Amino acid sequence: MNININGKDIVVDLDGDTPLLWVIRDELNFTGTKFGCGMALCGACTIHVDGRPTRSCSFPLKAAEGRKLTTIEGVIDSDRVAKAVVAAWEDDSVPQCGYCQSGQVMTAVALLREKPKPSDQDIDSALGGHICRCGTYQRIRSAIHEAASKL
Amino acid sequence: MSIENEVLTRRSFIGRTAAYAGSLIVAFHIPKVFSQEATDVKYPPNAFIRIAPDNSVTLTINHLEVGQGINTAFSQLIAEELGCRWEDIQAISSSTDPVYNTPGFPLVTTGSSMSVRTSWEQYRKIGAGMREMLKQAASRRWGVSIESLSVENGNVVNPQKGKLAFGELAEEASRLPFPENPPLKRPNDYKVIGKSLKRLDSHDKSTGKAVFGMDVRLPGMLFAMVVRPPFENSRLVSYDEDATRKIPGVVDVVKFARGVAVVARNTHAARLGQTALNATWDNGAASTASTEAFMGQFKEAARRDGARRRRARFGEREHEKRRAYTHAGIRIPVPGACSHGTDEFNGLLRRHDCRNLGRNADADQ
Repeated sequence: MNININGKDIVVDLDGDTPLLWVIRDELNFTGTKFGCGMALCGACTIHVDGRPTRSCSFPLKAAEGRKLTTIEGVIDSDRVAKAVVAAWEDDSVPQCGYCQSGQVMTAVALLREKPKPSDQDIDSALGGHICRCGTYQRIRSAIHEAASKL
Repeated sequence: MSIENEVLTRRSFIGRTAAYAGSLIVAFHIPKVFSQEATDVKYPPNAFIRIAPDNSVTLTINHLEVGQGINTAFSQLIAEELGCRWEDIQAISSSTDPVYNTPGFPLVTTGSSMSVRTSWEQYRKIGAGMREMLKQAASRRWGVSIESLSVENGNVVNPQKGKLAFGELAEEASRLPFPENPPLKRPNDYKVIGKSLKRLDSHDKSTGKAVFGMDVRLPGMLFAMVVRPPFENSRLVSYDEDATRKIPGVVDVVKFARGVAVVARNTHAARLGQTALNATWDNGAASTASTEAFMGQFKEAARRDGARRRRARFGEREHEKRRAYTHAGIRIPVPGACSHGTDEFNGLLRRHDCRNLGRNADADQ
């Protein structure tokens, strides 16, 4: 199976039904993408597939051929938007335990690339499916506004 | 397949994981004389503070960072007394060496909202002791009195001589004895304690670089998932090892005292194997357990000893409800552990808020 991840073409010798999450974490050692529920319910495993936030725990390897995959490792320095999001996350001390934050950042970056000045409602609907046990939602929202103000 | 430069060598693995996985590697010698369980502790400062020639300050934190901000809070305690620059600090987690025992406890533990309370004096003393050692080293270098010296932004300062960076003095200072009773600052003089500073762990946690228990990666490592008994005293009756081994990627099936582990090339194969095991259990008395029965037991317990004061405070109904939920409270952590055995290193890496107990429990299994 041929996939393109973080700008590199890679051959993966695995069953096509293997969820991308485990290809990314266990075969390629990109551990920034997290396993939360395994059922596309929590958002911790979010990556970009052709730029769209996608739950990698429920996205089979065979569906990834010919698409551009990006994980948190590939996104953080990729453009002004991603850098602004990471900077705002640090400025606002958003993460507590941090386990869900890779997923939060991935969706926040995708949102700001599409909508540079999102409203509270835009943020809530884009990130609504991301669960944070520490309850960092308020800081996530304000950090997205802060990142938007710098763009 | 693997990406060569993404496979961590042992050395870079230690460097990367130390901050989050509970490092097992002690990069310096801790004299056993300091390993004790009494309260009269002499702190070897290099076990807690390492100052490099480039002035970077690495602090070893003996409580587990789980999002509560303990790495940042304890760094504040040390920075206040040491006088280093906040941006030079990196915090890492300690091992389970007894030198890192929580003051007053015979183990390294985190919990009960007591981290700052138990180590409040310990960490300020460690910072103050290191500060005095740096001042003494500067006093020797310059031939001036200790009283003429102060610390500021990572430098020892003398009005006539100028300043010496901590990094320039660290090696010399490390050969001096740790002072018995280093003077501590008065609360009125605090510049770091009590301030809301940026957390030290935000960058790694915002960029996927933070290493959690499940993120430890070693060359050639395998992944295991465990089927555990549904109840405390369940007995394993049967499991289908052949079906499990037929799943592509499954390498081994290992029965242990309390369950069965499926070892595989990746977590996905291990998870499929878990299902394929089709483990059956004899649950004994637990097979008749139910939520209703438990709630009945909890309510019964709530009527017994020690409950009177809360009952008076909350009223009978509210008291029973609260009491029952307290009993029923469970925690759902994100578990993950890594075991590693070679000629040079043999250990188990995992997160646990009471690490010594976790270590013993894992070794048993």
